[in-house]
Amino acid sequence: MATVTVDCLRKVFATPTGPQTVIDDISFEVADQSFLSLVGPSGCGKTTLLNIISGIEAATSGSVEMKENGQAAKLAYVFQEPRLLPWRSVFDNLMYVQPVQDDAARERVTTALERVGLAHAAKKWPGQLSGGQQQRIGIARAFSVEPDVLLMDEPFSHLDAITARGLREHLQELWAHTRKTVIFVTHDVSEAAELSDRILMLAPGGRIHEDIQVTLPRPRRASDPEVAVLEASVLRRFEDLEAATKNQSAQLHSQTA
Amino acid sequence: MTTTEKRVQPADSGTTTAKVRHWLVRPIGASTTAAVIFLVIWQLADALGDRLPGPIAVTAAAILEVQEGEFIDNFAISMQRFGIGIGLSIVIGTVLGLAIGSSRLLNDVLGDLNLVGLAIPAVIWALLCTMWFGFGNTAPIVTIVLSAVPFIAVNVAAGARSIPPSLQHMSGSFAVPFNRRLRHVMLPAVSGYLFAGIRFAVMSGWNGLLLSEWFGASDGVGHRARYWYDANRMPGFLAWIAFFILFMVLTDRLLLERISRKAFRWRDGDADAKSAEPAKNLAG
Repeated sequence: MATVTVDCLRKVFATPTGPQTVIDDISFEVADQSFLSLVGPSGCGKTTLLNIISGIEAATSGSVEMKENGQAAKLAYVFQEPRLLPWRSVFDNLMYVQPVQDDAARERVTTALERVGLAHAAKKWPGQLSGGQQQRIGIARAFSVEPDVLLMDEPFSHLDAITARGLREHLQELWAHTRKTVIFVTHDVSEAAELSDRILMLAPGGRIHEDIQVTLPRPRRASDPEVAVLEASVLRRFEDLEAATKNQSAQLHSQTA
Repeated sequence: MTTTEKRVQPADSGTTTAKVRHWLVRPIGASTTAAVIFLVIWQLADALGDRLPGPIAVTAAAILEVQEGEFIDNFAISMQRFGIGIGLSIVIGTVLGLAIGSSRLLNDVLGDLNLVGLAIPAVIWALLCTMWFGFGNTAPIVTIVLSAVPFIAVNVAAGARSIPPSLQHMSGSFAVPFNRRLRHVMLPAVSGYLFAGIRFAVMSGWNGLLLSEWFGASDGVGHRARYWYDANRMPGFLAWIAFFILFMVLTDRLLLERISRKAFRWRDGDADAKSAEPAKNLAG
């Protein structure tokens, strides 16, 4: 039972023009074995929120609790870029992140590579693989540590559309097989609609604009009509949000003038 | 519609001239040509004046040193000192370089000190160490360390500053322990800089060793070179200089280049990678 509880989280950066609030009093819970997407325009604090959840960055106030049966949950991260060690073989890249370097770890690594269809590339250097294959290694690395919670930060944003589509399908298969609790950051609404059980729409200024439950049957494809309808609906809500934000700015501008 | 493919052959392709020309532009051909030209100029200098013994006289003196056992005895002693000195230098220089490159405070404290070390020539260290430690093994070994460490440290520090933050970030997110990060991220990331540093260190260390043995030892390559210098026998003196140069070239070409190629085989492509076995154990 891996759950994530984010409570009254705030993150304020000191900038030359004064304090800038990036995350503003956010609270939510992620249920066990669920796939949550954080969606929002650039600069709305998605990656900062993920970094705070992972412990890489500290929050200004508030708390994040991740529990697996009362114990601290084990995390794994998939980044925008694969972040592989170019001087180590694919196999050794996965071994590098294993908490204990034993036979069980080697077996986990082999299984993870088989699951992403790259067992044959175990002895290769990352530089010998394509961008899509490298990202699959990044995903295999995250799954190989058998995390309770998997954090993914726009993992397909640097790939071409066809490769990204293939990887999304692959991720769905992996997730269906392992049922990890996933927090997935993306700016691609179609991607969120295809993958998620729940979509949290973040607004500029780091607030939750809307919490959308997705109940479409799985497996899904981006080309499924239901996914397309959901995508259009989310995009419409973003357009409404954008219009509201513009109105607010105009009102503030006229008040100060 | 048919197409005809015409292959244009160079006019002299396949002829002896073309083969020689092809061989000359290859690394081995270019190096051999340079060596032959050097020997011809050296022989001409011998024939035109009386101040420089030619390559034949020097080779004869070198063969005599080998036959009398002087070469093996003295070279083995120098090699032992050099091995210990350069080994210590690599360890100390790498630790110092990583510290300077990773910490702003340590950079402020040690960075300028290291630059002072770089500015002091090996001959000064050789004289100082002879005065401090007298005759024996300590003075040459310490001279090598003092001459070589700054070169390794300054290069490794530059390497440490270039370690990709994204890999550090990734390691942090997976809670990889420090010693494993050191072995699999930091050291490989600085290895290119380390090899550059070792090359300079080998040159500087050998200079320091030779000078230290010249001033303060009763054996070794430097001592033997001085023996012939004091006896005013230039062929014997130049024979030892030739041994010294030969060792430097062979160390660079046969050892450092090969280690460097092996360390960077991940940049080269398939052939080497296919033979690379995954490590049985990455613990460290």
